Parts: sequence; C-alpha cells; structure tokens
Amino acid sequence: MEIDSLPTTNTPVLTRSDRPRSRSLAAWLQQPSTRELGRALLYSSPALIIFFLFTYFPFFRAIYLSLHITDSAGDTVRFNGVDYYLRVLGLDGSGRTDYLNSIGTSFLFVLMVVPATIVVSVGLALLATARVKGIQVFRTVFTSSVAISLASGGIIWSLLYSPSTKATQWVIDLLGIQATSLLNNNLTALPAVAVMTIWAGLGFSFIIALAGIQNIPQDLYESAAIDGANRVQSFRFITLPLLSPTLFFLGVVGTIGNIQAFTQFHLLIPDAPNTVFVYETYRAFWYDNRYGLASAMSIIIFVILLTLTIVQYRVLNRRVFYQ
Amino acid sequence: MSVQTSSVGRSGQFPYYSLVYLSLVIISIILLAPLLFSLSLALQGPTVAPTFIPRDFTTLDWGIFVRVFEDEPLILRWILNSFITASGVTLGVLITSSLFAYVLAYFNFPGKTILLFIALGSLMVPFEATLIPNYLLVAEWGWSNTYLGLILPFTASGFGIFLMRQSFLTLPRELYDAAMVDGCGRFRYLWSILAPLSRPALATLAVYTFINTWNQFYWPLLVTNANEWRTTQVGITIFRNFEAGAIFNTQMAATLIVMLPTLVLLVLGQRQLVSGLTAGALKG
Amino acid sequence: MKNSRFGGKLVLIVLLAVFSLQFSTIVTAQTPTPVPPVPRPEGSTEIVFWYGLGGNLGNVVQEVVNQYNSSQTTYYVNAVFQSSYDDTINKINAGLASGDLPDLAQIFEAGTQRMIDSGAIVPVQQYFERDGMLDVIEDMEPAVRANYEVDGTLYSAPFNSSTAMLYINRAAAAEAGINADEPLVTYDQVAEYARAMTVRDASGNVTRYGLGVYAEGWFLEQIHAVHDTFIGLPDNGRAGERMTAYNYNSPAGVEWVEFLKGLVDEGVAIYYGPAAGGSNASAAAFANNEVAMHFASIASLRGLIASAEGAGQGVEVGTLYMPRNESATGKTIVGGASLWITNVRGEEIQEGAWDFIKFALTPETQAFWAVNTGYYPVVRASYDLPEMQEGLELYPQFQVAIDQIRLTDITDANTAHVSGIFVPYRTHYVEAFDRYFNGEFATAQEALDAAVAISNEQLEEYNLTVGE
Repeated sequence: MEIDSLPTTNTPVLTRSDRPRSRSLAAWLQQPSTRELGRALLYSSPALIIFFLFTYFPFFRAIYLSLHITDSAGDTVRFNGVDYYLRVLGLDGSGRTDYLNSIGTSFLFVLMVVPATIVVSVGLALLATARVKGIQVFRTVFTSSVAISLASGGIIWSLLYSPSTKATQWVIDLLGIQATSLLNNNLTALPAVAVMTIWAGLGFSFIIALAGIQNIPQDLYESAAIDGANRVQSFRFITLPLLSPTLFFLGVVGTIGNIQAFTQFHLLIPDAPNTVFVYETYRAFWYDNRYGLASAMSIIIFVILLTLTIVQYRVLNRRVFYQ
Repeated sequence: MSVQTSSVGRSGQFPYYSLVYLSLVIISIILLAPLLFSLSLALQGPTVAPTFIPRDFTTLDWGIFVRVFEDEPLILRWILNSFITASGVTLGVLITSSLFAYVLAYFNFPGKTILLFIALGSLMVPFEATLIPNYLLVAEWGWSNTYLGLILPFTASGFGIFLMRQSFLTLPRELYDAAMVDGCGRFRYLWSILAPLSRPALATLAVYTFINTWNQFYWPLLVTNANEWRTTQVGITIFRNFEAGAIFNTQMAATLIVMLPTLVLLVLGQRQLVSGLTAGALKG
Repeated sequence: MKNSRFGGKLVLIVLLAVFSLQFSTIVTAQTPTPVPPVPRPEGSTEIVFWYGLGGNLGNVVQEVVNQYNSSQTTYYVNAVFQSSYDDTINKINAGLASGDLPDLAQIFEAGTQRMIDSGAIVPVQQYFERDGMLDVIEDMEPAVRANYEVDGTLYSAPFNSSTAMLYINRAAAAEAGINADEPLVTYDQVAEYARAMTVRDASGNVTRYGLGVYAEGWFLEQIHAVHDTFIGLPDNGRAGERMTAYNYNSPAGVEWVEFLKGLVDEGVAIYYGPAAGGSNASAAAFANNEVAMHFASIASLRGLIASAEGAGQGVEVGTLYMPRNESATGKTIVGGASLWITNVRGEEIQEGAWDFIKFALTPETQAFWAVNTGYYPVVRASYDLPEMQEGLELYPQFQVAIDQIRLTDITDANTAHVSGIFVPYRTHYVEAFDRYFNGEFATAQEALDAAVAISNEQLEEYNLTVGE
C-alpha cells in the first residue's frame, strides 16, 4: 500500500515508454478517489477474504465436483457430466425416484412445521400481551427454546420417543399403530420430528410475533372499540392485516431454515429410510464418500432455495399489506 | 381467545383473569415438559427403563450432576471449546461486519455496488451448498480438530454487515463530515465514535452470533473427530453410542449442563437477543 | 419489555437454586467409571491408537493398553476412543485427505477393502514373517485368521473376535418347556419358541414377545454364511478378483427377512425399527423381560447379563446359534475387529505399533481380554490358561459361540466378504428391511431387489474410482 511513497528516482533504468506510464500510475495512486478505493479495499478485505475463501470459492468448487466422480479422499477421478443431476432428479431412465421422493419429504416437512409454528406462536404472543401479574415469567418461558440447541432438544426428544422410556406410548396407543416408537412408523416418524422442530422453533417465532403485535398502534384498537368492534373483529380486521409482514417473514425464514434441517434428523431418525433431502445429501457425502453426487445434491438445494427466495420476494412486493 | 392488549384493557374481571392464568400455566407446563422429562431421567439412576415421572421420589440421584464430570471428564473441555469457538466467531463477525459496513455506509468510490453485491450474494448461497468443499478445504489444510477450522469459516456474515450498515446510517452524516474536517482519521472515527454510538447494534449482533455459534451442530460434527475437540453440541450426542440402557441419566445430566450457558445468556441478554431477532425480521 | 429483566432474573435464581441443590447431595457411582491411562514415561515414542469400542469394552481396551505401557518404556500407546467402528473408518477416510491418521487403528471387517485400497497401511504379514512368528498365525482361530487374510496375506492383526448369537431368556424357556441347551436351531424351532414364550395378559395385550427383531446387515451376512451362499459375487471378493455385485436378494436372504416378518405379523415377535436405535431397544427389552429372544454379538454377553441383573426381572441369559433352514450346512461368520498399522509416520513408529500387536496377541492378553469382555480369544493357546478355563466355566454361554464358529470347515462363503462399499451396503439393506416392515414393499424379494440395485450402482462407482 506504500507504493506511492517509494522514491521512484532511484530506479536506474527507465525506458522512454515506461516513464510517462509510471508517472501516471503514481498520479493515479495519488488521486483522492484511488486512495479512497485503496482504503475501502483494506477495510473490507477481512470480510472479502472470508467470503471468497469459504463462500464463493467453495460454491464454484461444489459445481465442479458435482460434474465428476471422486475417490474416497475427494479427488476427482473422471468427468461425469450431469449424470448425478439426472440421477437425483429421476431423469436418468432408471426409474428410481428415491432422491426425488426425499425432496418431496423436505417440502412435506416444511408444510408440517412452518404453518403450525406460526399459528401457535401468534397464539402465544396474543396470550403474552395479557396484562396480568408475572407475565414476564411466562414470556421468558415462551422464549426459552431459543436458548435450547437443536442438538440438546434432539437428544431429549429422542428419549421422549424412545421405546425404553415409553413416554409417548400413549400416543402410539391412541393412534393404534403397530410400532415400538413413533419414530419407527413411516407414517408418524416425520410428524414426530416436526413436533420436536415446532417445539424448538417456538421461542424464536414467539419473539418475532410478540414484537409484531406490540408494534401495532394502540389507537387503532381504541377507535375500533368506539366503533363497536368486538375482540374477534379487531383481531380479524386490525391485528391480522397489520401483522402480515411479520407472518410473512416467519414463513420465509421458517421455510428456508427447515428445508435445510439436519440436526433433528441426525439425532432422531438417522437410519430411517424416508428422510429429507439434506440428510440424504449428508449420507451420500459422509457415509458413502460420494462427494460428486453429494455436491450435485447441494447445488440442487441451492437452486431450490434461490427459487423460493425469488418467489417470496415477488409475493412480498405484491401481496403483503404494509402500513 | 383474544387477549389483545388494549382492546381488553378494561377486562379485569375475575373469570377472565383466571382463565388467562390457567392457559398461561398449562401452556408453560407443556412447553417445559421436555426439560422436566430430561431432569427426571437424569435423576433416576442408571436404569434401563426410566419413567416420565420418577417411580420413587425418595431415591433421586442428584449426585449425577457431579458424577457426570467424572464419567465424561471431557465435558469441561467441550464447554471450553464451544466457548472459544463462539467467542472467536463473535469477535470476528463484529470486526469484519463493522469494517465492511463502514465502507458501505461512508465511502464513495467506483465499484462500490460490487462490494454490496458480494455481501448480498453471501446471503444467497446457503451453507449447505458450500459444505462439502469447505470440509475438504479444512481437511486439506490440516485444520480438522483446530479452533481455526471451527471459527474461521464463520467470521464474515452478510447479516452482520447489513445490520451494522443499517445502524451506521441512522447516525447523522454531518457528524462524519465534521469529524473529517477536524482531521479525525478514518479508522479513529470508526473506533472512537461510530462503534460506541452503535453499541446496541453491536450487542445485538454479538448475542445473536454467540448463541447461533454455540448451538452449531453440523459443521463441528464434520471438522472435529478427536473427542477432546468436540464442541458441547456434538459431545453430548456421543453418549448415545455407548451400550444399551444404562446411560440415560448421564446423557440427560450432560445435556442439561451444557444447556445452562445459553439459558443464562438468554435470561441476561434477553433484550439484545430480542432486538437482534427482530432486527432480522425488519430486514425481511 | 421493560420488566423482562425482572422475570428473567427470577428464572435464573430458580435455576441456580435447583443446581446448587443438586451439588449438595452426592450418591455413590454405579456406572463403570472410565479407566484412566497410565502416565507416559519420558523419552518414550508415542503410538497413536484409535479404537471404536465404548463403555465397558472400551475400558478393557484401555486396561490392555495400560498393561502394555507398564510392561516396557520404549513406546507409549496413546489410545483414543472414536465412538464407534463406523466413525473410526469414516475418520480414516477423512484423514486420508488431511494426513490426520493414527499409527494403529482398530477397524471392523467392513473396512478391510477400504483400508487396503487406501495405500496408507502396512500388511502385518511381513512383520510376522520377519520376526519368525508364523506359528502365531498358525495358532490363530482358523475362522478368525481367514477373515483377515485376503489373497493369502494377513493384512491386519485380529484383536477382538466375535460372532452373532440368538440370545434366549432361559427362565422363560424353562417355563415354556423349551430345551435351551440344544444350541442348533432351525427357523421352525425358533418360531415355535417365540410362540411358546409370548405372554398375553387377561385382555389379550402382549406383555412379553417371543423375539425382538431389528434390521442389521451383519445378521444378513451371518445368514448367507450359514446357508453357504455368497453375499458378494464373485466368491465374496476372496478369489483374487474384486467383488462386482451384491447378492443378498438371494433365496437365503429373502427367506431370512420373510421369516422375521412372519413372526412379527403373527404377533409373537416385535419389530424395533432403526430410527429409534433398533438394537439398543431390543437389548433393553430383552434385559427387561419384554422379549424372550434377542439377536446380538457374543461380545454383548457380559453387558446383557449386567443389564438383566440391573433390571431385576429374573431374566437368565442363554445363547443359541443363529437360526437356519433345516437344509443349511454352513456356519456363522466372524465379526469384531482387527488392528491395522498405517504407514504415515515412518518405520520407527510402525515398529512400535507392531510391538503393541505382539503384546495384544499373547495368549495371556487374549485370555484377559476374552474373560473381561465376551469376545473369544483369537489365539488358541489362550484356552490352556487357567483364567480362560475359569472364565468358560463361569460363562458357559461363551462356549456356544466358540462351538458355533467351529461348526464346519472354513470356506469363502463363511468368511466376511470384501467390498469397498461394505458400510453403505448395510444401510441400503437396513432401509429396504424397514420399508418392507412398514408395508412399502409387498414382498421381501422386491425390497431386497431394490436395495441390491442401489448397492451395485455404488459398488460399480467405487470400483471405478480405485482402478486397478
């Protein structure tokens, strides 16, 4: 960065064509806007280096890997074209749709988790606005799952569902299913993981929903009350519309987060045949050492998330009610 | 069901009040049930068939919370690992985000939009899409089982940059111009004026980053394979691999112990956390 | 949220109060406390040893290592627990990229092909030859030796060897009039036993099932061996040629899966799916008298006896052979693990690793190991030692396992297959098994056909990456 301060006169041999050039370089370096650029790059370089090293470079390497077969150390062995993509998307003519099914399972999981989380957390937030003594204690309780990691939660719930503790045996009996654990039945395994996920995500959604509700101007309710609106009406016509950006945010974050859900699947149903796409990716990567296939799967996850983001952005711009 | 704040502000009648209380208590019990369950299991000794509610309250084995440190002496090391990792990432994110946001908020130079897009793009690429090459990179560089491997990949955050930029932009531009006229250095302005004034945003970012890193599971699972390098989240799952039965109590005790730091942080730093999370919400 | 801090503090105080209470009352320990390693003598050369056995078994590993470290001062073996066999081989794979490898590793037979292909190992055969110790190889239990010999070379030194058993609650058997002293049992007999030992309460609910069922690739391999069927073609990968296809959709494989499913459908067996830890759940149920028979390794013997005693339900642990079709002529396969020397850190280190192996294979060490775990000794000289004989008297269930692996001659069919996708294939099988039990496949044949197709796709790809 100290180039401009070097004594250029010391340079013994300078050809004619070099001289004016280097002078203009020096002049360019002296310009305020250049110094501004230099300083900007200096300040932004820590983040830039990290981004390039751990986000952009790996991203392009993943694309490269996805087009190759690799050995178990991750070195590419031969070019494979888009075969892995075709295989995952069920287009390779083998008729096998196992990976495609797991993408479906991922979306099903999101559908089980996200709407329920939003509904419950808004309910909790409404309840938490009650002006009763000690409400702060209840608010802390409602928030608490933010501080509980998915790993801790996953371990606890794996024992709640365990045939040894029989803590959820009553649900099995209630449903009348043939299984020793809710996790062992293909119909109940995914919902069981979803319930655990909803529990784990409630704290976060509750905080957001409560903040959203508290942001609604009180005078709206007062004037509505003067106009004779009852509670249900004021919820329907004031709270809900004004809360819609918050709800939308929870939907977006919940969808993107839960499509990538990994920990709870790793802890609750690691060996289950029907699992989500991200977990299938992990298996291909970690257990099978098929880095090429797993990379193709991770690029597909990227495309899915990008598409979702774009769609949601469009919806955001059109539909959501803003104050 | 609706207990909307001010539309019901006058309803202090008895049945309403007790109904609200009843629902609050019942819901709290349901939400806390898994935690109570884990406490109950921890206290029931090394039985193969523990029950949700202990069969015998007189023989509760409170000593498990001490013994678990003897049974698995690495727990303390795991907590240390998690603490160093979470602190390292938090510090890194605070520094890189502030510097980058400073440039975005106050610098004028050709190509600034490129920087903006680089930061925005980092939000677009999910961790999932870069996981395998990152793992290979860390393995090739010999960073498995090091703090470097645990920390470095997360020391830049698009979210942090935009949060700090937002905060910097709320401060009047005139302050900056005046400081420059007075000969205040660029870096000094950031360090002694901007950063102190943005303390709420920094605190928010810190608590948010710390808790997120503390709770990380997938990445530490991949880049640590020596048991002394595990973080708490991965460490507690190792208990699962022991032989059948008699480990429910130690595992639950360990799980409860490693939950404690984030629970305390939640309680103490609730305001920062709440504002951090809602800052994210405003972004959407 | 003005008051949130107050509410928060209250919760914190309660939490602290609860936890300080917990520290004030200490109850004596009941779980096995870990064995601490002996201190490292100055000037000794460190040998890093990864092992995959946890709990009590892991403690005995550490004790063997301690005995070795105390017996000499040139080398110091640093034993590092790797949480499971699967994890150990995974970490070796990961370590191939980073160079982060141990000097000595305990690997199960599923890792054999991968270890050979890694190019990071030294076959132990050359050390036996160099030190004139071929008699030790000759003295090895023949089935064990065959398992770790590929194309005539002993690549790794067997350390802990086991085989699969059908455990039976002898108390329940006696009640039902079953002769649990005759270990060789057919499918039909096991079905009868299961029916006889299933107990229902007054309202018809089952309080004890005859058999606990779970999906496990190792048992599928056992069944193929018992029925003289190659699970991998050609010749389990043992006739000088790499395996190119899996064969577990064979009649033997299909019959096995249908046999188990039939018992579950009949209501005399209960299926523990893989999601909630099938083997652990079945083992716990066996110890707790909720199932009367349970499949597991002979190495689980001591653990099951301890759990059964702990549960206090009067379960008496007995052992039978893996069940078979009446026409079957084979015997079970050896499981367990062996010790591999890596070549990453030079000859001096390799000598140290070899020195430890020599110690681990002495009749005394093997007898100590066997008596304290439930694995059988890999060298036959151990049986002459008094402690081993005492152990056999104390645990007669053990002799059943030894008889079982000596039942017939050793062939490639009853020796573990060698495959680069050994671990993944087991997952494919477990998934198909679970899908079949959940009704996603109409027949066992369909389920296994689908799984074999997936395994073969992956095997083909693996063989591509190693070349020849």
